[in-house]
Amino acid sequence: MRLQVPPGFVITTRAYVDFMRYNQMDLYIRQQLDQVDIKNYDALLEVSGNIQHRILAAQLPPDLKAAIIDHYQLLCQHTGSPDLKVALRSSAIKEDAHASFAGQYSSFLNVPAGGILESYKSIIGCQFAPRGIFYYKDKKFHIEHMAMAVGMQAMVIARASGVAYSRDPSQPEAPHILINAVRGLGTYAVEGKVKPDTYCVSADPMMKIADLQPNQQDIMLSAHVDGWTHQEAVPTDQIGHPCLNDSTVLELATQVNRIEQHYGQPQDIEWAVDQTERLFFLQSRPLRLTPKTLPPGEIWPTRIEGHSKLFDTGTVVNRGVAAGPIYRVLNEKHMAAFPEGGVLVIRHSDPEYAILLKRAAAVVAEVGSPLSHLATVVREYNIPAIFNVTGAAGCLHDGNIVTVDGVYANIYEGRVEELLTRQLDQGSFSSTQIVQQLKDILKYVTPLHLTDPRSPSFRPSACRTLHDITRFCHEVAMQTMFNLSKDSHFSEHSAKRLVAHVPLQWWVIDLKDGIHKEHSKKTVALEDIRSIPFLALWEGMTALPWKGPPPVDTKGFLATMLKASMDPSIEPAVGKRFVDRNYILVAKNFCNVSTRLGFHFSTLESYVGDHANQNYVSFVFTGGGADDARRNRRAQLIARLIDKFGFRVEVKGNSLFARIEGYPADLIRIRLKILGHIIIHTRQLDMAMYNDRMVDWYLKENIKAIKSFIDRDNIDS
Amino acid sequence: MSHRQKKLRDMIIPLSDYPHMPYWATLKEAVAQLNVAYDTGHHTVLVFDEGYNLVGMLSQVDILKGLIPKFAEHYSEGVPIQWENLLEAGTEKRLDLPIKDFMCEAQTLADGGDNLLKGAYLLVQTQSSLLPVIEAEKLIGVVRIGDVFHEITNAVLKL
Repeated sequence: MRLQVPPGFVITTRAYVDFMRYNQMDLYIRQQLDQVDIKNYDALLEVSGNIQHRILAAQLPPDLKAAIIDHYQLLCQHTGSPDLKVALRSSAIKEDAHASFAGQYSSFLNVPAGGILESYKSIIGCQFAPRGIFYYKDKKFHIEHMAMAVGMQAMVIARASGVAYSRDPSQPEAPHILINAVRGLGTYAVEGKVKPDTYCVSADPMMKIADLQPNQQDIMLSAHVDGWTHQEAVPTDQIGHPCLNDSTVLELATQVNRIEQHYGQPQDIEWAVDQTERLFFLQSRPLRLTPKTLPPGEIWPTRIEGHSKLFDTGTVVNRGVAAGPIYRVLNEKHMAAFPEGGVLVIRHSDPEYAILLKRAAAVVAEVGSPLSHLATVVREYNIPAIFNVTGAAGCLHDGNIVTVDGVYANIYEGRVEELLTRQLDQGSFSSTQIVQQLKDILKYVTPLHLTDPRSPSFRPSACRTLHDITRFCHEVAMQTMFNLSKDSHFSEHSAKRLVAHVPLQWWVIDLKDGIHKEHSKKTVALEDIRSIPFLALWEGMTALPWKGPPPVDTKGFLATMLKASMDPSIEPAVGKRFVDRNYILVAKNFCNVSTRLGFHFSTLESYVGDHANQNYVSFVFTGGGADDARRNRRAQLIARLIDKFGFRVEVKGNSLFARIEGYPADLIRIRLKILGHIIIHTRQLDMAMYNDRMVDWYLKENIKAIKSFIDRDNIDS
Repeated sequence: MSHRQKKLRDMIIPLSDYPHMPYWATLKEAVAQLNVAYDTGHHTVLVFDEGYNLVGMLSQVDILKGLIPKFAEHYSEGVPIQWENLLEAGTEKRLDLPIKDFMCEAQTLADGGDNLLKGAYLLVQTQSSLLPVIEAEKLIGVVRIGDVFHEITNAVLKL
């Protein structure tokens, strides 16, 4: 596109993962995140401080350190500036893809050579600022998911800079480009610290400045000649004059328009103009719009009789209407007590307040721009917001109920039911281009047509989607697994029956070095097995006596059994399924264990070796014969249990998917032992899951049981 | 609906509302389950096998007999029964025994289409307080003697 972009390079997410692993940060962070209540701001602050402190004190892996320094020197050569200052900015994997974590991460500007490594660590640390923790708490900390890349670019010593939106969020259908500009570096514009100049450029039929609102910017952020930044006073002769000349504004608008066309959707762009009036683009990301329009024919009242208006000026940042009690947050200390459903009143649109938006009914700010980070997040939460309401923090009183009319920027005393009962059209985010593209793609991904394995159309040529293909492969793989003795490439003799005092049939297949070499019998004893992960699992399976049913013993009292089952899907042939073989594939450092007991099915796979990075356990559990609610509770029970031991767990109905990885062998072996116990002792417990209190009870009992055979220190670590 | 038209299927407590456990669950697990179910008014655990077939029922009385063996014995009048009997050594061991050792086997089943007098007859004959009801070989729920009693006595008072 031939846009001017400062040269630079990226310290990738892989570097992040290496850094965190090198310092064994993941377990520490997960523990910290686990124990924090996100509604308690003080606790959040403390945990945030702990983690950031730890990251700052950590060491960069030597090869990463060398790579950063080498590439910085290349950048110096490239720009011909031996003591080049750089800007470092974060980009987490999830930052722009799904939700704009606008301003949730930080940047360092005008960093001198000596400050690069520390700045890199600080940026990673900033991920764990209270607002970052708030975002990630629910998702559990996981290195791969939180991995953050850091971009390093040659610093643009900006005369003016700011943000441009390729659309006006309040009327996205209009061909308007919004530009915010401040003198000096752009940080003050995005943080809402100063009121920027606002330009509205109309793109149709040709670029033309439709509106200009210069502001009285009296302070600015400047780059210091020796590095870093400092605040300066704006020279008095410049205050009140626009900081961009018309030709720069029009050039900027033209390029912004091209960028939107390039990406095929509205963009949120950071830009800068250097001392020689050269225009640079620093960042572009999708602009989130929640277009809401009035239903056709409906007129939104500009004032409501019988209700007194407290304010009627301001900038609508997100349309909508809501009522609630006023709560003024004038500093961070006030944040902890912000009530659910309160109307957040703030002095300026500091992104720090984003963590309150989940609880806020509406937002009113004295100073702030619709192009600020906080505004972006407001639109994401889709709550009504009015900025630039002069005097709001002084005049509105905590606890008083107000109605915020985010259509005409009015604030009414009390609840105005006439407005609250009106509905704004939610608009059509779904019709935006990217969603349409996604829909087009999803047609070939998610629908499942191969539902019945017995149907003649269950064949490769009938696959129409990716889901069909994976379903087909899965079924064939499972059939092959369960028919190993009949028609797989394993010979009949390769499966050996495991002789053990457990009333289930286990057949072991050696992939490589999983069974003692000398062994040639048809059965295999536990002593002959060499597979490290399987032995750990088995230890847990047999640590406590198994209370389960005998396999096929239908003598005795079962002979009197009445044929009255719970589930219509249960057929008389079901009895046979209890003698299904359970297959175990073993190698020295690997095992894959598929067990099937009646209606309960689980698969466990694990690798345990010398390199922590390669070690993992993945576990899938599904099934049950009781009613849905009980089956789902059983999945919840297992999820809560293994969550306590550091697994990442996902539950969907009665199915559970869990994974843990990147731990040293000893820790993984303990997890396998715990999982072995859980596999054995929670099967068929679905019957007993009468209500949630029963889940709690079994949770406690199982933890007690696990602690009886696992060293307490090991659990805590 | 008059009491004459009423079928057992109209008065069952659905299976999902009723406590149940596998037969190898311990007495302790059953005690925990009845404890959390106390407020619901359901005081019996339905016992199933691994194929989810009903094999028995465990009532409060069965549990008390299991916990305090003296309750299961016949003594002449005046036999002392003390709290110590509950707390004495062995109780913890008994709590670990499977409930199949204490439950009453399911002896009879009624059909959802049976009328309530037939249900009452089966309950009286088997001296139980809970009657499993099936439809098309599938267990759909249970009928409690109290509910049957209430329906019959309502009819009697209208005579």
